[in-house]
Amino acid sequence: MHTRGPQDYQGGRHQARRGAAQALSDYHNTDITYHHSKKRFRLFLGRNVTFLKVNAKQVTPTTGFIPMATSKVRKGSSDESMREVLELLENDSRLTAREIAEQTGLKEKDVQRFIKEMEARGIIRHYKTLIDWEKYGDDSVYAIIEVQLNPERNVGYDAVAERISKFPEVVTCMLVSGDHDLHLVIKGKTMKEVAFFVAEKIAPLSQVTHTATHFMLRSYKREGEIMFEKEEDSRLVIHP
Amino acid sequence: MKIAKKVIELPPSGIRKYFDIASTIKDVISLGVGEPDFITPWRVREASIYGMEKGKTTYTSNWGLLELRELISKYTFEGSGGDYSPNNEILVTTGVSEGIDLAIRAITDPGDEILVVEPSYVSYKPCVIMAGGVPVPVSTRAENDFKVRREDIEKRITRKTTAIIMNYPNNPTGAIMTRKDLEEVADVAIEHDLMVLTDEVYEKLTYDGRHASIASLNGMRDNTILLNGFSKAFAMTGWRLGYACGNADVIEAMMKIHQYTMLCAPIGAQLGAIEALKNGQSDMQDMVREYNRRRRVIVRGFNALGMDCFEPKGAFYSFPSIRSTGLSSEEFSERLLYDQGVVTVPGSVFGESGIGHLRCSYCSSMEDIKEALARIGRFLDTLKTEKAPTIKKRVKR
Repeated sequence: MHTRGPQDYQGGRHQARRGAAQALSDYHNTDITYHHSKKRFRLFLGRNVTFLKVNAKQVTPTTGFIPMATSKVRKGSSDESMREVLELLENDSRLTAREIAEQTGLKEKDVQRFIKEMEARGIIRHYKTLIDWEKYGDDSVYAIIEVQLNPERNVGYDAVAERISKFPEVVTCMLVSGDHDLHLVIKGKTMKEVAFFVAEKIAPLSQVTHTATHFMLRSYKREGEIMFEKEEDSRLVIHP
Repeated sequence: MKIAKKVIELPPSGIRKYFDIASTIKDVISLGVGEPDFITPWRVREASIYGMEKGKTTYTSNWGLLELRELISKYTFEGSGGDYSPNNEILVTTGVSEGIDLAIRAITDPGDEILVVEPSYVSYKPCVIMAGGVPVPVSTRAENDFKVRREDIEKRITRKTTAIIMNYPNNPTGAIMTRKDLEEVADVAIEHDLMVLTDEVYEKLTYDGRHASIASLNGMRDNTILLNGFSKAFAMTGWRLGYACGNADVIEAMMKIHQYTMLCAPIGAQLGAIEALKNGQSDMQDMVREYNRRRRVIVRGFNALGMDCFEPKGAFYSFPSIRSTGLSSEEFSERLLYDQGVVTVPGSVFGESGIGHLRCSYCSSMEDIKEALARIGRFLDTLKTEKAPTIKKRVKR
């Protein structure tokens, strides 16, 4: 069945765009109006108002939701589908650009370009695998260290936090609110090694006024990943 | 032993035999399940457990908990201006299935003809028969995007026609109806004074464009029984919780039957549903996003295999055509299951207009979907070696 699209609206650029807005309006069951002075579609979706520079020829009612229609990667884009690329990569960094393109409906080239841009801008920091070392049999020791500091003039907490972060034993270093200032996660081979590292490298720093060490006994959730057995799929194989 | 005649005459479920076969085969990948592969969001489960701990284990009002009805009233048609009174226009049911049964029974006298838009969910026709009515199929076709059109309905209307049952987003096709499409149906309904029973349980699983309900169209509020539930959007299938919205008189009639049969929906499920409506939106959106990814992969996969696949815009089913293979839907499903261990549902189960198609659910993991597509590809390759002329046609494409 033929669906009305912008190509059906003849009579100049503005009229075609107005026609495209009408077609999208019908398709999305919402009010979409075209403001020709700004050469933009104004899209109203509930309380959300989005401005999009869209060429009428690019937009047809079959291309789907408007942000998907404008799949060109814009610098600093907060486009939903680009965010989705990051979320997919965060969950599985092994996904190829092609696989991501298949899942998101974007073009493979756009995905590649976007990932490169995100890497260049330091938004994608690192590709990492979350491993349950305990299950593998590794007996590394992790400890959470609470550190209280005297901030330094001009540089506040940054200088000492950066200095501490450079130790390879420090897995995580965060400035936090509350009754301590730095929250560290330290990795070592033995409890003794971790304790000595704190005693020799962290506690003696002139800005450090107090440390408290908590050894981690078991991880239940890390980086959003449940570390115990997940619930099994118990559905029937077939159902209407 | 006496069994009621109309029960004996009910047709058996068309998929029973595939279930029996599947249970005898190892290493089965199922695209047969019409059920989210997500477990109900933890916050919903936790709210229900907490309620139990606090002793909330009693009957509720026949209508359902008032707080839940108030939330349903707010949730239904949110942003589009329509609303139903939580006091007498909303009934909480044990799943949409009960809602469908109640709605049909509340409006059907013996001999009334009820139009059922096909392909359709398997329970509509039996429910009409059990209520003493006569189900009359209204076919939709792939070339019309499986949308029901004014002329399709009008062809089937007689003096006995009292209502029409439809389900958009649709199980099994994944088709949706836009507001404009629905206006055609509304015009016919008003013109012929038909009640519209609209099963919108897949409402939140709409991928391109927003869901439109016929109940929100001018003049349709009182002619519509809107049926919805928590199973699909919130992965709450086993909780059996749904609701019906409509004119106070018809909802009152449904409530009469409900109070003598189910009495009320389980309170634990209602407590969970309250939490789902209050705080479960982001969990739901995460699931919908994941379905959308799988939808793209499976549709693309079928098309790449040469099986014309209608692009589903809602629900979580794909409905590829198997006509080019020359096999019937049943034959294809059965052979695919035996040869490759992939479970699908023949389209014919959902009515005559499903013939020549398969229903393949994509609420299985991405890995399973990809593996199933690979196996279907191998199955098609084995068909190529057979000498049926229809196979050559497929190869040519």
